Amino acid sequence: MDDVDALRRGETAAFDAVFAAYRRRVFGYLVRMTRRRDVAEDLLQEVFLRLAQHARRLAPDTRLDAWLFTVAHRLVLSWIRAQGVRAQLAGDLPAREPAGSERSPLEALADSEAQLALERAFAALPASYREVALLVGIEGLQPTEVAGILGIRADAVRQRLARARAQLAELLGEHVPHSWRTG
Amino acid sequence: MSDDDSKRIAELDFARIDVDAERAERIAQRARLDLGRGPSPWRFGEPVLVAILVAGVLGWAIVKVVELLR
Repeated sequence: MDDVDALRRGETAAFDAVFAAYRRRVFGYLVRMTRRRDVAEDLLQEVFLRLAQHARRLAPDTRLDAWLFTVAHRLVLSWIRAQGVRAQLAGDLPAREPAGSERSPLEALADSEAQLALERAFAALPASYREVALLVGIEGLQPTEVAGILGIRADAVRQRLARARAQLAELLGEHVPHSWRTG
Repeated sequence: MSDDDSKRIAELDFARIDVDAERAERIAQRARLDLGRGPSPWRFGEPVLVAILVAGVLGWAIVKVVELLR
């Protein structure tokens, strides 16, 4: 909680340390949820602006990862809603996705066929499953914490996680990790 | 099993992704300016202006109705 105490005192060094520690994690979440690098960068800025603005009002026992992902989740929800409204205004066109053989920002980063298959499979998951898989499976948050972030029950988090894993196994096909086959 | 599911998903080898260094520095610089300042008071400006406008139109409409009834 040292970082939280220092943030509450408005210390710049503490903010820099928190930004360095969490920016990749939050950015990874934002890119995988929005599938747009430019949007993820804007939302990342908004997340850390809000942290700076709320720093003095943070509770002493704040878990920074949960706090940051809660803000990021709300911003993603707002962005998705705005995309839906825009699509309706544009005559129900689908939200912008990489077209045809064009690679998404995440696919472009993949440096093996297996990683490419993984990013494609992950992107094909429903957003609600993808989000839980990201927060619990990749970010290592507890289902109870994720339940708080998403505003759902911990049971629902576990259920979504199991479904995400099952769908990933199906989507990955031959690229399923060896341990998944034996486990 | 949630523990097993999260462990298995954690085994996946995702591409590493980060915001580029220049953009990261710009974000940090911008946020440092706001550190401990709280949200801008101007965010209340728009609702206050709208409230004044609505109250003005409503007042004008009431005056007109009263004039008609006299």
